[in-house]
Amino acid sequence: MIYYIAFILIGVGLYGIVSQKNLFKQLVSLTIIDTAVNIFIVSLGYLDGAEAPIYSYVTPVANFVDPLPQALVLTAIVIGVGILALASMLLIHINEEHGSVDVEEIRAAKEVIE
Amino acid sequence: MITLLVAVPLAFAFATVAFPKLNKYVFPLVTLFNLTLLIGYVHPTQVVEVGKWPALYGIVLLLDNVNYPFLILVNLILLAVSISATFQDKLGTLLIVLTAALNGLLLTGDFFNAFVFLEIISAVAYILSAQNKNSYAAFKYLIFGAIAGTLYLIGAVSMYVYAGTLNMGYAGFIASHEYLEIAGILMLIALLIELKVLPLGLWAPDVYSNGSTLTPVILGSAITLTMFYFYARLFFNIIGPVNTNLVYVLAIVSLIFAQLAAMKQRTLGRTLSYLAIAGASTVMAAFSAGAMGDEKLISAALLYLFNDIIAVFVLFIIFGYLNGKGFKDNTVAGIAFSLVSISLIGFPLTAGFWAKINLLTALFEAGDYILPAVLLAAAVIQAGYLIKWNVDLWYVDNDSETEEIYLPFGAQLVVLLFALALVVIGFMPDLIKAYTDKIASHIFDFKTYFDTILKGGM
Repeated sequence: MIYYIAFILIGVGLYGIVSQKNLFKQLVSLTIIDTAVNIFIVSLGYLDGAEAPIYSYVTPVANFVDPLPQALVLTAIVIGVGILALASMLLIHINEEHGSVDVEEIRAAKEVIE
Repeated sequence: MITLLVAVPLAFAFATVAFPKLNKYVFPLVTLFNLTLLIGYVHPTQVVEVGKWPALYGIVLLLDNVNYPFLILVNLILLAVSISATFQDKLGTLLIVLTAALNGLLLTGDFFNAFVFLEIISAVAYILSAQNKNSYAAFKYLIFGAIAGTLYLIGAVSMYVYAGTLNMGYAGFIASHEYLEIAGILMLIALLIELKVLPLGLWAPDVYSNGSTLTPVILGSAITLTMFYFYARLFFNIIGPVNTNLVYVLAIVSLIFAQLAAMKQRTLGRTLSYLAIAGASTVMAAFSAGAMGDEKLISAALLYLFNDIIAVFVLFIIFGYLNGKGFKDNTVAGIAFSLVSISLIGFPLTAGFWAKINLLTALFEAGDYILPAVLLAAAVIQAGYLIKWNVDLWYVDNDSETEEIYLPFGAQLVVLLFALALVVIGFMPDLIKAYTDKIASHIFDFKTYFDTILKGGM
């Protein structure tokens, strides 16, 4: 079930990137895709009824979910946040350079300059 | 020892964050250190299991006959960049990080580790693209690149699901070809975006033509070369060919469109951008044609790639500094530009001639007549616009009131040496061909690759 949620979210994100003229909305769509992929990866390591992958006195038998996808997701989240910060910085610069973050308005501003 | 190729640049990148003014000295020293290490101290084949974890569970770095020439050329290009480019101090740290990431991607034998290096390379590329008030183009590139990164990540994780490991060698050994193919398709799309094959490379013209001096130089040479290596490693060595016919058609369409677009452009920057796309598309088409194990064709494609990368590097350095200004006050730049143009056209006794003739011969021997026909037509178009630009730039009116711009001495030295290298290779093509033949003979040999991984750090 959770796979479907991830794929639906990826679809929503892709639709947002293709359909939105506002660059900020495109960036939000990108973060939706990022989140969806992270959900997808975590769901791959999930086992019904299994414990969190930490050895302790309450888990004497290692009945764990797969810890590797969780570790991968942590790295992917960090990279995603970095890219998001970078994209936000670019949006601020675009707004300063063109006075807007709307694709059509940027194009119009560029045509005026040319 | 090979871990130093990644660790040393990374350590110096952190060290220079607080002292950005040192970057102009540290960056050349780091690249020089890498080259010295590669030429004098490390030789194929070597494997390092990071943290002494067995390859099946941990990260391995591998130096073999396939990535060794790529490492030398990439670090040579970065050394040339450090000598030629008068980059801002703040960009120096980025370039050192890029050195670490490119070396990492060339060495790694782990799918997820490769994803991390890919993302670092992309992040540096976005920042470089945004220079010179080019944020809009950089944002478009970021959207394309982020989708590419996402697709690669899903592919890498799928590989883990099928094989139970992220190690490339073990995954290639354990997973069946059908499963590898599904993950491979996702990785293929990601790499086609990075390799700017149209229409997935639509981000490239704006990024290449409007960024800073460094933007097209770095993206068009070192990064493109590393991406082609990674493509070859994945689809010739590990996963096997995926959708070769579709990629072949796409690359040919991209080549035709790029050459026609290059002819139509009115600015040198955009012409060179489409020229770089056409070069990458040609190599991609040749790779697809030889993907089933044709070593001669792959060797020819690699020769074409190396020639193209050096040519694009020289052309973009000259464009970046002079920005369409004529050669009357910049004779050295003009000579280098013309030599490289002659080589790209395929004039006899230049590297470009051997690149083209070898590729055409290999294609004919493989029974492929479509790509040669397109290549010959593309060569005529390319010759047309390159001659036009040479005439324009040599005879441009310099008496106008525009500010006089000169190529810095470092840049003059580098472009002249690289341009002369293309002429020298023209007389002695075996200098490069020995390496391309060696790469081609090892790239399809999965057994040797896997045996090397199995031996591990022993």
